[in-house]
Amino acid sequence: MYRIVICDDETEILNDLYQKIQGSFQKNGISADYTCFSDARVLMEHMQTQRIDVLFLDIDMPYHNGMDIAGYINSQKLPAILIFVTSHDALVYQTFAYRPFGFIRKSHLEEELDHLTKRVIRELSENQQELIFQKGSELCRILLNDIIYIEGEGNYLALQLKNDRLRIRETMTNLENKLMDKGFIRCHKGYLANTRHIAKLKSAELLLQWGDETVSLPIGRSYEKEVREKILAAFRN
Amino acid sequence: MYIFLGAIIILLGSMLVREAHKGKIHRANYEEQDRLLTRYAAEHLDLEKRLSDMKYDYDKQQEMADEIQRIQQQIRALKHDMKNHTLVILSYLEENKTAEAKEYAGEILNKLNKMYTYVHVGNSLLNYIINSKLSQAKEQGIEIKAEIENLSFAYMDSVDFSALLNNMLDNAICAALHSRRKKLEIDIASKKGVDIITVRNSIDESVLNRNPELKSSKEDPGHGYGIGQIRTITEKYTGSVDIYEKEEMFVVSVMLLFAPA
Repeated sequence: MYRIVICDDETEILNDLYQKIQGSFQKNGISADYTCFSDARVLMEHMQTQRIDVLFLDIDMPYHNGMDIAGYINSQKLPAILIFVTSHDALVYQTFAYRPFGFIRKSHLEEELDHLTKRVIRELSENQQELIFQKGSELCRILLNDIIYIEGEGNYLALQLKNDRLRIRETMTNLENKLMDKGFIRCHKGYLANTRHIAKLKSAELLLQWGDETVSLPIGRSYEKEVREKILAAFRN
Repeated sequence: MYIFLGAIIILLGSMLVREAHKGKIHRANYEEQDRLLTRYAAEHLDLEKRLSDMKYDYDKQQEMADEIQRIQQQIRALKHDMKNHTLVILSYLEENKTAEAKEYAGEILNKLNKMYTYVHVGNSLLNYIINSKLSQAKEQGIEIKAEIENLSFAYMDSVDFSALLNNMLDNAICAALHSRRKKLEIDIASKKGVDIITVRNSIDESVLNRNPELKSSKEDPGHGYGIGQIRTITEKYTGSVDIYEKEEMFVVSVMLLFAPA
């Protein structure tokens, strides 16, 4: 069950938001646990102990404004999908750290909520996608999110996971075909990278980051253009 | 006798050889001149192209300077207005007419709320282009949504940057004006360590289906003309261009990486 939290200091708007957000998720076949806050301080306390999947947040609130809370979520690396709710048409972020998943305007609530809900659901379900493969006589399942990159090792492939490294008997081409629509890109003859973990794209290398670890994968000359195109296409929304 | 004839033949032969040699020199000269001429012609064309490019840049910069001056004038006018308003409120208050003062202040607030809130980012060129284009679009009845990250684009030449952003926005504004919903969305962000500029405009029907090459025409105003330049500039900065349509919006997304080597 997804946990959705809504926070706005004006209770009337908060109630309206709840009705519409709940309706929108319902319409898309998602039932969730909803929690509403009208005080940002209470929300902050709640965040310290509870997991939140989606957070709808008014930007202009007393005590902690939306940007503060966004900064907190980012610094604590909380997995919440953050959405700003605002009456402004234009938002400016001083750094990436304050950037939400998206923003919706109170003046266009229903229309924008509809688009956004679909995007959020896609993101949530993408986070649960798995790679299923045979290892010996066992059938293994791994969350795609947990794979950092895949490296060719002779007749085997090594899956670099967040806390582990697995060897499976499979060809790079096979796995590439399986994963190419799922956020993976071939950056080199011997490497398949998960775009979710890209930290930086350099001229001949791709920097991947997870936790406190960083690794640099080479980009093959013939893959350069494709890598750029695929990374850009991964941002379509 | 034979010796004599032989001598003549030898003489004639050597003359012929010499003539042929002269001809060769002539031809070589001619070819050399032809090569030079072609080179000069090519250089002339290049220079003409550069001149027209520089003229174009100069005009753009002139336009920008005019716009900055216009904005400064607006600020002066605004200051003047604010001074007058404050004086009016002050005079009400001195006469203890609080109700009137309140009403007057409320009216000003109303007026101010109707004005477009500009974005403020550290990059003054980005600031300038976004603000001038947004208010231009707003004046023409286009509905705007913008998400802008404060990025420096320091690796980009400012002429390239303004040509790129102006082109993307001009195209989108023009196309949005010809659509029913008249929507414009701008998104500037650094994602995964690469800078991405995305501009979306509403469309009534697919442009890419009817005109996949995006040739400029009466049916498709806006896009077309600028796409070539957008591609050229993006390629210069080792970037990539993504053009697609989604949910009745036409989207041009540009990724920029680093300065040309």
